[in-house]
Amino acid sequence: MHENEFEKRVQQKMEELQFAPSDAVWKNVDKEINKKEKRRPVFWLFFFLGLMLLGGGVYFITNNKTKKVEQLNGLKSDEVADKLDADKNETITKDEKKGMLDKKKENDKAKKVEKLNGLKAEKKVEELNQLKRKNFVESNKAANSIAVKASKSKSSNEKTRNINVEKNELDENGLKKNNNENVATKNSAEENVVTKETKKDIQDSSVNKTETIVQDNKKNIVADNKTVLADSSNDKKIARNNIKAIKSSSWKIGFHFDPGVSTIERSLFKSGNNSYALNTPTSGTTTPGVYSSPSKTEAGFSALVGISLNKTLSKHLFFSTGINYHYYSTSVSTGRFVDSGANVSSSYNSSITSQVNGYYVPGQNKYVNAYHFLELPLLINLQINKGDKIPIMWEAGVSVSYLISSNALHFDPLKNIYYKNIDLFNRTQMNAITSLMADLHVNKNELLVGPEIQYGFTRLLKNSTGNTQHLFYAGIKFSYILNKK
Amino acid sequence: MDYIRLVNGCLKKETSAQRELYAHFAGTMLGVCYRYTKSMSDAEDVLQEGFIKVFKNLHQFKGSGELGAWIRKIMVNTAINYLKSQRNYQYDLSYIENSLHPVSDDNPEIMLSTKELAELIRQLPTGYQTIFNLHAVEGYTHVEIGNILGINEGTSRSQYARARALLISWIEKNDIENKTGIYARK
Repeated sequence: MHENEFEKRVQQKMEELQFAPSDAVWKNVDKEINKKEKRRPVFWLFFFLGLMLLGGGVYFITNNKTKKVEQLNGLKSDEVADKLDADKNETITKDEKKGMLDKKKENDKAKKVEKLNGLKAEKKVEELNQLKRKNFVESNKAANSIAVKASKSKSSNEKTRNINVEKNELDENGLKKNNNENVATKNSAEENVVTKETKKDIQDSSVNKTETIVQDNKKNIVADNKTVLADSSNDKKIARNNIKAIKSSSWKIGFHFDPGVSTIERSLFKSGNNSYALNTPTSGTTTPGVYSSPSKTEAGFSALVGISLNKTLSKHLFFSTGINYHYYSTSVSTGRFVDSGANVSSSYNSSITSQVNGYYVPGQNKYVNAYHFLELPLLINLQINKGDKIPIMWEAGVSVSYLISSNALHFDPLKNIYYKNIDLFNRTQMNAITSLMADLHVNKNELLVGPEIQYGFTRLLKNSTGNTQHLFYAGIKFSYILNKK
Repeated sequence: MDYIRLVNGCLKKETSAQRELYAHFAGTMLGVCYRYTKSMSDAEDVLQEGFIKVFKNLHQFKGSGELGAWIRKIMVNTAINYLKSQRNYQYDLSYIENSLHPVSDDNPEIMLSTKELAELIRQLPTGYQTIFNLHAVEGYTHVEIGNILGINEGTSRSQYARARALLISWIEKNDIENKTGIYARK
C-alpha cells in the first residue's frame, strides 16, 4: 500500500475506470479458444487416409509380387517335370523317379534341389554303371579263362559259359547278388560232361572267383551307393546355400512408417527448452530492458514414411538404403500476425538482419513449426540374438537430409517478434540413426517393429555462435520388407 | 458472483460460462489496458490477447486468490509484451539510466474525473506511463518493476519520479484540455 495520498487517490480513481469493449473482441476470443477441437478431426482424417494409402500400396505390391512368383514357379515346375519324364527311360530306377515325382509336388524350393540332385544322382549312377561294366569285363575275362581251362581239360564248358553269361547279365542288372550259388548248382549239374576232378577244379575256381568278383561288386555297389547318398546330401546343402546366396545377392524392397515426436536440442543429451536462446547483451553497451525472452519450444508430432532397398551381406548382417520423407514439428506460443514489413535481427547472431513482410507478436496461441525433409539413409542391420524365431535387429547408420520447406519461426529479441526465414537454416543435414527392432514374419514377408531415435548432428541454424540447435526424433519404426520368392 | 462455478464451466468448454466470465471482467480489464496504451484500438488488441491467455491458462488458477486480480495480472503482462512488440512504442520505451531524479512530496487533490486522470496518464511518454501505472496503480515495487522490464531498480525510481512530477504539474496547472483533447477513443 502507498503511504502517499497522491498514489492512493490515483489508484482509487483508476479502479473505477471501465469501458465497453466492441463485439469484435469477444468474437475473436471465442474463435481462438474454441478452434482447437475443430482441427483435430481433420488431423485424424489425414492420418488414417495416409495409413490406408500406405497399407493399400503394400497390399498391391505384395499381391502383384506373389502372382509373379507363382507364375514363375509354375513354369519351373513344368520344366522339372519334363526333365524327370525325359529321364524316365534312362538310368534312374522307378523308385527313385517315383520319389522325385512325389517330391516335385511338395514345394518349389524342394523341386530345385531335387532337380539338382536328380542330375547329380544320374551322373553318379552312370559312373557306377561304368564301374560295373569294367568289373563285368574283368569278371568275364576271369570266367572265360577258367572256362578255357576247363575246355582244354574236358572240352565241355559251353554250359559254363552260358552260366557265366547269365551271371554277367544278372550282375549288369544288379538285381541278383547270390548268383555264385547258381553257378555252383549249374556246374555241379554237368557231372556227366566233365570228369570229377576237373569238375571239382572248375567248380571251386569258378565259385571262388565268382564269389570274389560278386563280393567285390557288392562292396563297390554299397560303397558307391553310400557315396551317392552322401554326395546327394551334400549337394542338397550346396544347392540350398546356392539358392540362399542367389537370394541374398538380390535386393529386397521395404516400406517404412515411423510415427513419433520431435524436438530441438541444444546439444546431445542436453535438452533445450528454449529454441531461441539469446545472446546475452553486453553490459553497458546495449540499451537495457529491450531484450526479450521468446516462448518455450515444445516437442511436436513427427513422422517418417519411406521406401527402402535391403541387401543381405551375411547371415546376420544386412545393408539398407532408400528414400524417406520426414516431417518434424515443434510448437511455440505466439500472438496475432501483423501484416507489416519489418527489419529483423536474429536471436542467435544480432549482426544478421533481414527484411520480412510480416511477423507474429508474442501471445498464447499455439504455433506449429513444421520442417519437411527428404532423407537418404545408409543403414547397417545386425542380428544380435541367435534365435531364428524372432530375430532382434540392431540398426545403426547415417542419413543425409534436405529441408524442402518449413514455416518455422525465428525470434527477434530486440523487437520481441517472431518471423519466418527458411534461409537461416542449414538445409542439408546429416543425421545419426539407431533403432532396435523385432523381426516378425508376416505372410512370408518381414515386419520389423521397434523404437528408433535420430539426431541431427549438423547445426539446424546457419552461423549460430554459441547457440547450437539440433533436430531430435524419437519414435516407433514399422518396417515391412518383401521377401523375394 | 460464483467464480468457482464460472471457472469450472469454462474448464468444461461451456460457451455460456466463457461468455459470462468475459462479460463480467471485460469492462474493467479494458480500463487497465487503456491505461497502458495510447489508443482504444491498441487497448482492445491487448484485451483480446489477454482474454485468450486467461481462457487457455484457466486451469492454472488455484482459486486461492481473487479471480479478478489474477486476470488483471495477466492483462498487465500482456500489455507490457504488447508495448515491447510494437514499433511505435519502442522509442518511448527506452529507459535512460539516471540515478538522479527530482524528489517531490506533493500530494495534490485530484479534482479530475476518472477518465480525465486516465487521459493525463496516457499523455505521459510510454516509459513513464508504464512505470507510473505499475507502481502507482498496480502497486509493484521498483525491484519488481526492474525485473518485469529488465531495468535497474534505480532506473525505475528515477523514471517514476519524473513521471509523478510531470503528472502533478499537469494536474496543478489544470491544463487538462491543452494536453489531452477529447477523452475517449482516438
